[in-house]
Amino acid sequence: MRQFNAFIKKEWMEQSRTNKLLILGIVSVVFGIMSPAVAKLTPVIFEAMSQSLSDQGISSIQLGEVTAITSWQQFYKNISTLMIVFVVMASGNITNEYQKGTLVNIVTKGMPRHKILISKLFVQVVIWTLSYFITFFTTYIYTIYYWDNSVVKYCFLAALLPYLFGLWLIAFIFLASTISNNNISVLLFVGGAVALCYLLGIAPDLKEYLPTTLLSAGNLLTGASLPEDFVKATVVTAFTGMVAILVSISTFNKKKL
Amino acid sequence: MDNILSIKGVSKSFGSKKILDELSFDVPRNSIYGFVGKNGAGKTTTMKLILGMYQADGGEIYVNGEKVTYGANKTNKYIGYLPDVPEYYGYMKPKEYLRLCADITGMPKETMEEEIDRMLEMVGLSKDNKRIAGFSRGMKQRLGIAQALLSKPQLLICDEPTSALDPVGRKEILDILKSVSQETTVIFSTHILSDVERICDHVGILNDGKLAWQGDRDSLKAMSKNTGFEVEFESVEELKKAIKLLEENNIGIKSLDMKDSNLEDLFMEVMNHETV
Repeated sequence: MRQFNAFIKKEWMEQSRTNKLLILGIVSVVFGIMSPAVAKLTPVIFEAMSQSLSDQGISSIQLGEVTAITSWQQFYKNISTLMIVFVVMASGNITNEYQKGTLVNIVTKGMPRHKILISKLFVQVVIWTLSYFITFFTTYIYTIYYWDNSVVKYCFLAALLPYLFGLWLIAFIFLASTISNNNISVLLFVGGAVALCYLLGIAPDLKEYLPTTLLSAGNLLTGASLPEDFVKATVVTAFTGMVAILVSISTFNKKKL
Repeated sequence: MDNILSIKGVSKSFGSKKILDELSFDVPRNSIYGFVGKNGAGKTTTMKLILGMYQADGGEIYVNGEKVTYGANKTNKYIGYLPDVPEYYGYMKPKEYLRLCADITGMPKETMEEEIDRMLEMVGLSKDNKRIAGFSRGMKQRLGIAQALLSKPQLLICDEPTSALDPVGRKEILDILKSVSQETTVIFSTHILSDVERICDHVGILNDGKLAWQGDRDSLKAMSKNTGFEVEFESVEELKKAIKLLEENNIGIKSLDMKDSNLEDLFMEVMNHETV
């Protein structure tokens, strides 16, 4: 337990002192504000635009009513960008240590390899959780302030689905990091896995099983989808994620450092 | 005197290249063992095998009487290791890094801080409380020794600890290694032969995957007596008299060289004047 605590402390210090926590914190707040801000400003922009458009002889475009749902739809659009930022930052977590050789001493001192991996996993999950829910609650606070949120169905349940997808991404970052040695390979691997899901999603029968389906959680808010529609994807995501972690622990144990 | 380290018939190849070919040698307890060989001879490979970081193709290694196994590193609790290019977490300060090491090795918490301070004092880093990223190579080597000795290992293995240092830095490191040899057996690899002469009491020369020569200090001295003689005269006049004497007795002089002052001595002298 002492070894876990020591290494978790080291990981947290690393994320903090290399400014990753700061950057992610700022990005999370910005993304959190951006969704309701865009929703709020869109009619204003349209208003200004339609003035200049009608001056040119084009009749104004009718914008639908802006509600809480508009704000949340922005949230679900933007969340994949937040994930990209997070993945880019996390991709070097393990591979940088190979490049620098900093794990050699840690391992020769007697730190079991699986403890190293689990400590890193724990810290990355905490950071993702904080980042995601800072974004979510920032959007939530602004949304309930400006609009009536009661029209939104499954507000909190919907939020959990992209969160779970983020955890899945972490699992695959770790898997890639135990197979390859540099963070570009990790990014290609994870990007490739996501791309594969989208490709497979073209087949309508496969779509409901794919982890990427979790990103369409926004459909729950309007009632366009129901919770049952996401069960299969949730199970596949959780299962493949756990397998990825187990394989990465096994691979890491044998890896030449 | 028993052996802290026993290497028995160890072979290791990387692909088709055979680096170690049934290498065998022993290191006596509390000695300072100089492990010599040219670049690529297999010194680092041998060390990594001892640490269980590589798997041997054949043979066995015993540390403190216990067998070394690949990956499991149970025997590493007896060993402190200083790699040839030590890399530590640049965003940490030396004390923080040593605390991490202490936690990993399970040092008793009560004495931890005291031991860390003592180690940093011993290697001359107690005043450098800045992040490791700003350390010079010599400072990193010294931190390396501190972390290697923190858990008071029985065996200290250093991979070319002086190779990238200036003569002042080298002397500092060698002095530290000599001072710890009372409690700890030291093995260090090098291709700087003067370092070996300075502090080692046992030497092993690695060549073509085997130990080409090994022995203690006395056998080393005995060997070096046979490489030639050096004669010193009080003055040039005396030298001229000697040469005349040799000529008169028909004794030919094969070569006569003027001895230059040792560059290293000169360097040290300049450094000492600067610091004084």
